[in-house]
Amino acid sequence: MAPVEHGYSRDFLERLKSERERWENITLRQWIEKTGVPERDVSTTASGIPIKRVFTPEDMKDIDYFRDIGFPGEYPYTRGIYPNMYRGRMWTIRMVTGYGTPEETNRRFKFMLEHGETGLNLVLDSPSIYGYDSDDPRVRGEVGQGGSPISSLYDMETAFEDIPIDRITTSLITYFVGMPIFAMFVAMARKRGLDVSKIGGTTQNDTLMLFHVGNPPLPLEPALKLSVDLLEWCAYNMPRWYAISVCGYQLREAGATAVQEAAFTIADAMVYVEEAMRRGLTADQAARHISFFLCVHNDFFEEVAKFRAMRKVWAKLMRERYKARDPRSWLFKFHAQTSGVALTAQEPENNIVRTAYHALAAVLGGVQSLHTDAMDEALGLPTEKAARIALRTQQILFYETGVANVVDPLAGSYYVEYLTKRVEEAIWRKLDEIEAIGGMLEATRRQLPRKEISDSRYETLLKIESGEIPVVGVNIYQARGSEKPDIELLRVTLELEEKQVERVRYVKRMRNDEAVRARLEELREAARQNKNLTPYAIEAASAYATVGEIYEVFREVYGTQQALAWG
Amino acid sequence: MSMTWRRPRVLLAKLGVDIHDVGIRMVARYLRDNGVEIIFLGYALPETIVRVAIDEDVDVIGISSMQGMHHVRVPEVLELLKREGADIPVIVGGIIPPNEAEWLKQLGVKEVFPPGSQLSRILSTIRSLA
Repeated sequence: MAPVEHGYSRDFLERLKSERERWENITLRQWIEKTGVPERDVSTTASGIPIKRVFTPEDMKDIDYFRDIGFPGEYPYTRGIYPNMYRGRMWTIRMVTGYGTPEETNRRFKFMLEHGETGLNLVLDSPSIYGYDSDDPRVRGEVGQGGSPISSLYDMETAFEDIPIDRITTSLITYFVGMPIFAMFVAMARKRGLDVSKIGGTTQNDTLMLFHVGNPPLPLEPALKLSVDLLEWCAYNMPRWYAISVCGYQLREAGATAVQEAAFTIADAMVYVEEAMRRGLTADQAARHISFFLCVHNDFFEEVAKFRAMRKVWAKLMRERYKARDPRSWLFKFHAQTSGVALTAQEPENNIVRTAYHALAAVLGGVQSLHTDAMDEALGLPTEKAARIALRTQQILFYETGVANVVDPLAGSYYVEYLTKRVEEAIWRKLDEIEAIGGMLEATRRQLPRKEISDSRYETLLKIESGEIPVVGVNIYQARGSEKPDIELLRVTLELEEKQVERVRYVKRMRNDEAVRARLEELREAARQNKNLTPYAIEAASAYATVGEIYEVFREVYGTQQALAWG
Repeated sequence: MSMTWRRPRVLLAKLGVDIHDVGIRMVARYLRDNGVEIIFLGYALPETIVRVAIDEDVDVIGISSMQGMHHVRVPEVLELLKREGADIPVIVGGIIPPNEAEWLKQLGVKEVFPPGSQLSRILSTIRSLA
């Protein structure tokens, strides 16, 4: 038998090399001379992986089909976590929803569901995610601006009124307030008489991400404890709930490259697995409550490769490093959101096109659930029309283009397999670097990912400034008058804010204050005794304690976090 | 060229608690790399912004607003400055729709920088105001 290198015979590879050299020296060179058009010098992907004009089987020499690619639904899951992917079930259309008041948010949920949304995705406003109630004078002017205000169980109940949370899965974009917001959701489910063990959904609840790019109100250790408390509680009470959705999205939007996004996200997830195991959970128990949230950005093939590579790295980590036995624990399940930072305020209709490309990359990358940004992202909150177009973008992709008819259709592309392998190697290298400095928790304490992400963003920004990175309608092809886009905008008025402030005051008048005080005191005591706070938070939420009151307990017991580096 | 040119001193702040702070952090880095002295206040309310701006004797106040709170908070900053008799120019950047940018300028904001603004234009505006 002829010697073989990962499926290619030596003879074939030798012939390929000489044919490629011939092609370069004759066909290509003559073409360039004849046309007189100099070739564009594009030598790397957006995150710096070397590329060239043409890829061939030569570039797959180090790729073994069985080891590196395999079959969908089988280890290492490069081709997808399910055997038949979208031939079975379509990905979940899960659109970020929330603005103004809980009533407005409820209306928008219903609008999106009527138009074919298949999962819910509640986003909170800034005051709520920092643990301030809507009636707090410090947050005047910010209520309902970037999401729905959720100050208490009452707001949660209004936002989800008439929505069957036991039959549709819900994602809660909680940022810093994973614990109180989750507690309100559970309190709502119980009040409806639902069996919470049957309810499916996700809390964002990723503390580490918020230290890489955010401005966390609580110090790292207690904030991490709260995240893991939730995971631990879910392990015993809510088998269908992803307690932590490990976020690459915000890292990417803040400037991380695709490789940094992938590596930091996986390194963060490792911290959660290890913390859960330190509490006595098995790797299988931990894995069941962790999912991922990633960005889809501009460099199309690199994005597809990123998703394929992350699946592979995660499967290997869970199986080999953490010794998870159940194959379900090896599955890298992710939600993706199209990049907001890639969208422009100039000629906003162009964003429909950008988002469609991003969505296509997510689907070709094997996404489980997807949000598509609205065209007015860079101008304000999505209008009904803009949100509907974003939703339709996914439906057109699934029903009309045929891209979901075949599993992992880009597999076998010399370029995509090469990129997948390079992204995978780059992730492992970064994981090794992180391990060498003492792990991700230590790296976070030293704000190293924060610094790296900031540097990447700055570099990109200077390249956009100089025109090295073209942005259509911004630094090339600027249209006269495009600074005044002719589209309808949605603005949250102060009247709407006043309405919400009144709702919070109403709750504070109507509830049993004594019960609230007692539940908050129990929560405070449990925090001092370092207990798992989830059941106490649920009790407090059930008594209509507000997010501000619950968070105030945390601030008292744990102290507050000093501002992190801005440079 | 003036021989007495000095480094402009700029206070940068985000109004309120909105998490979207990458924009202003990047502006801060760019200005710092181009000879502007930066007092980075981070998250702050109008009272703090105005007090620090006066105490630190800054030439320009730069405010970032990504989630619409400028419609309430920027007028408050301008009002407080007026009350204190402090003549410090204010510029605003972020997600500011064109009609609101015009409204802010009518109120007294010197310049508004929407998404996609050139960093060099922010720098030259600051130099001309300082």
